[in-house]
Amino acid sequence: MKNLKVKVLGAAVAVMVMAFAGSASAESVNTSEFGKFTYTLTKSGSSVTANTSIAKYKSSTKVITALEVQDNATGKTIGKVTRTETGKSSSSISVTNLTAKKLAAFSAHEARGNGSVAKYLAKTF
Amino acid sequence: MRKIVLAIMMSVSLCLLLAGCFGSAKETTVNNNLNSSPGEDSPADIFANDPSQIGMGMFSYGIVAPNDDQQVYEYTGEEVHIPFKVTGLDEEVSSDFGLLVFVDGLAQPYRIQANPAEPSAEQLMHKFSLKYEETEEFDIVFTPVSGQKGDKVGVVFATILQPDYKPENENKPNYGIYHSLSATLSQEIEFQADLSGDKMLQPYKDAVTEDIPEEIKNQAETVLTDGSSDYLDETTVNELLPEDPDQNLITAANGKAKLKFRIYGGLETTYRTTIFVNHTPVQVKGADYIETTLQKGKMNTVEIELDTSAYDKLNTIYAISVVSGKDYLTNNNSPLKTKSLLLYN
Repeated sequence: MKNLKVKVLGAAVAVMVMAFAGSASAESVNTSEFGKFTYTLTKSGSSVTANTSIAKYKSSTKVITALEVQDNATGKTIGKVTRTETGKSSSSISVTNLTAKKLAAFSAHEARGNGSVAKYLAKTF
Repeated sequence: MRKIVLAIMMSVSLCLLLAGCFGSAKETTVNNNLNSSPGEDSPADIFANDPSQIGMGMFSYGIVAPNDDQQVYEYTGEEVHIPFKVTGLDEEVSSDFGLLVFVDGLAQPYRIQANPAEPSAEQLMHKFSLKYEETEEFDIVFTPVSGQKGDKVGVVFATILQPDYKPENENKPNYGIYHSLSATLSQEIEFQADLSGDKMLQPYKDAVTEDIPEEIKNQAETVLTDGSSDYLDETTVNELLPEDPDQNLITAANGKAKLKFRIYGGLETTYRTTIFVNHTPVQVKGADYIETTLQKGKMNTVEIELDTSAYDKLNTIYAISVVSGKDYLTNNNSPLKTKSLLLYN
């Protein structure tokens, strides 16, 4: 009985861990040229951050992340930035000091080599 | 106490498992309610059905090559043939995009040839709408618009997301993420023959050069939060601006539209800029494109007046700047697209 309780407790813990781990916001696609291509668009505090990462790259490979944040009520652009990294595995960009009640964020995630992979997201916060 | 803790953990686990099962069904229903083509919604309305995250398309495209090295294509007097492939990668929506080709910084008309017996028409932009894992392979075929024997120039492929999107009226001129540009790295064309014919594209080279205004420098520094303070040292920006900078659209009067093009920041590089109206290049001051050479800390500006008498009421205008000459080998910032603006006639 004691062993059964330990096993049930362990299973319960495992399910809880998997459930919370599964709620992470990163999404990814496997690509032939860049390996696993991962993209995120998140908000923390008063900042919105977009990130792009790849698993395979050369010295000439570019990883590009673009982010535009708008006041969702008016459509007015609050911040618009792009970051290009060359010969690296990831690119991250943020817009900060955001005070609008509701934000609309649009992000573009791209890896450039002989080919290109591009992902576009829209999200409200 | 142990029994209580165990009971609580089992209850939570059971709830999470059940939530996972019903949650998947709900997510599927929400996704099915999304338009199969998100470009039908204006940026202000795309969150109407799903208030959280919306996929706007994902796709891959590029040359078909025997290796990952930069490829060299030869122009010998015959058309250049470049094997090419496009693939849809978005599970939720069709990926709609327009494909452009630039040779030595200039917009290049081309044909798509999947079957030698059925070549497509020559166009500047070919459009694709690809479902998840849908692939098309073909040759991109063209005679370069620029170059002479001995030249080695860059050829780059670029896409524009949802090119058919246009605001429904002048009161909602926002394009949002629609018309975003992506691109490949440059490949090379080596000219082993001169181009035939005498019709060469003509540049406008008299942009006004001035210091980058402090307000622009300050804005660049305040939005960056990754510890970098040299945004404009590394990044080139190009913009199309209405005559009234507070407006978010360009309004024509008496068949004429006035606007301003400017480019600044980044490395000292020569760019060739093409102005597009409804995805078709237009002349600027009697020239086919604008040529500017950037200097550190300086901005290049061109005042433009367009004849809009032949246009419909609602039109899209944007500019694409591409490095020319040897700069394609080293420059990070190319090609560049301004945001699309509504040209209201």
